Amino acid sequence: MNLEKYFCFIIVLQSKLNGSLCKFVCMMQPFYHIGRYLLLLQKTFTLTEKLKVYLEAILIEVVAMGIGSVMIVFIISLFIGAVGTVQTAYQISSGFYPKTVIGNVVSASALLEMAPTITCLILAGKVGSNITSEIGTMRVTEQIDALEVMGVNSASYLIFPKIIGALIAVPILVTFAAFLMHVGGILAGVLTDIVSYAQFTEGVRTYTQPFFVTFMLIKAVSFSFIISSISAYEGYFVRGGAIEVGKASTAAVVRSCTTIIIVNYLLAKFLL
Amino acid sequence: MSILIKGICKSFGEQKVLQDIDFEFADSSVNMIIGASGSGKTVLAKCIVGLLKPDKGEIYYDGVDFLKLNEKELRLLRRKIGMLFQSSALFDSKTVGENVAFPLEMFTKMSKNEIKDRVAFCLERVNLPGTESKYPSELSGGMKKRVGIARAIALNPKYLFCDEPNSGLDPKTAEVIDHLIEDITDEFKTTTIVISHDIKSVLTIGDKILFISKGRKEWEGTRQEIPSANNATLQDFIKTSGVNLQVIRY
Ligand SMILES: Nc1ncnc2c1ncn2[C@@H]1O[C@H](COP(=O)(O)OP(=O)(O)OP(=O)(O)O)[C@@H](O)[C@H]1O
Ligand SMILES: [Mg+2]
Repeated sequence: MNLEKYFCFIIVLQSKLNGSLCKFVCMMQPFYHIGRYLLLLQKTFTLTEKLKVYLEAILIEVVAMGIGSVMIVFIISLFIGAVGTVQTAYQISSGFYPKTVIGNVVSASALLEMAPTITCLILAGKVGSNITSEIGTMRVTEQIDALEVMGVNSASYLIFPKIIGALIAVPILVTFAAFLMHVGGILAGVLTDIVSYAQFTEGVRTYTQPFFVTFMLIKAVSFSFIISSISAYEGYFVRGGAIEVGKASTAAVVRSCTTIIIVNYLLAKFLL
Repeated sequence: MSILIKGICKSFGEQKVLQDIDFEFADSSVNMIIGASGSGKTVLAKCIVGLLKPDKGEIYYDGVDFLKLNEKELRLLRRKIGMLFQSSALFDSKTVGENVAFPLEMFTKMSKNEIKDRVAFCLERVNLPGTESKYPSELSGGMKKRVGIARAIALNPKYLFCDEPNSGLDPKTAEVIDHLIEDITDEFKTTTIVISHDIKSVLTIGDKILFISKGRKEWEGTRQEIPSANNATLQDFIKTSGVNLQVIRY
């Protein structure tokens, strides 16, 4: 509660001041958002309702996010895998490297980078903006107020199932994407006679380590939390009307993508 | 069961919306907040239920200091509050039936059948039987209002807030809603707070009346005291509505 007062204080200060002092307070703005975000997370994970309510909602979210995104993940992953094969083949066309390198490169880049990062960036646009506009619309039409007045913890009721749903659905989608990238790579190689199926899989078998998969899943879990929680935050604190909800959706996508890229670097730096 | 407010002040930036409002909302009676559009009625109600934080003042629910409750105590108290919003605030992804059933599913151990019966009963009382499977977007404004009332009364609240329950309703349905509010208040001894522009309903069901003008308390009293009220703003407000004072029920 005290923390909350402190952050409100910053905002009030900002509205009262002008000139260079105001600039200083503006610099505090990120801290205000981070603080409010953490407070919202605390409220989200304070479960106050019957377990059944959450379980049902989580199931609905998993289905909506998962099924709703299968098609786009399917198409994108196949082509990313195919491009991987074509480009690696081009790089090694001097004949100095064995063809098995193609399988190695496609597999390693899919597991370590392409499947988790690209898929999550796409999902930030698709799932994230969806979450923001849904929660944001509920905010501006007073539906969240209605929940609060009834005595429902609106943050946990609305946001918790979305975060858990994303934590379940996104890693599954990412795994699916990684699989499809291999398929895409093989298809592109075999159909255009760049590399044979045997050469490709030999490359995968010799160089790909089990840790790659673990790393992919760690990334997927981290990114899905980032997407769902940041988008929910943006929606939960919307003020105004339809235009503001639209702006918040855009902000949610931009902020979660930026955060994903930064966290992506940090994970690579510290885990590899 | 009563709600006591003392010295409530609320500003948005420079604009002082509420200034020093004192009132006691009595139990087992219909308390009405009246006043011109933009006078701060909705803001006052939102302050009382804690959706807005008053800048100054105290709020007591049956002696309990509302502004000092922690999150958990606040939630428990709020389960006894039913509220109809001016914008209805129905959950638009749920059907009418699910909207009314929502508080029952969240807070009671009723079985599916009991909930279904209760929902049908509440919808019946607001004159909307058989609309369970419709979505809020398929309803008219007045119908949304009535579904909002049905949702607010589903749990038999101890404190019932209605923000303009009969705006947008025809006179006949408005009367039904007025009687419904009065019946519920008598039956369950609720502390009912109704915000209204409708002078006719003020004169027929208002037990205690708070008249606000430009964010200040201008007058308070019972409906029977209105004709003899010594307040020019109130008399003007009543007169322009064109409602005959003879409709007052004694
Ligand atoms: N969230 C807000 N931010 C800024 N100003 C607000 C806010 N809510 C209300 N106001 C201002 O407070 C004043 C009172 O608003 P309120 O909604 O209480 O009026 P009202 O008495 O309910 O009117 P009506 O009968 O038309 O519903 C208005 O001038 C409005 O501009
Ligand atoms: Mg109002």
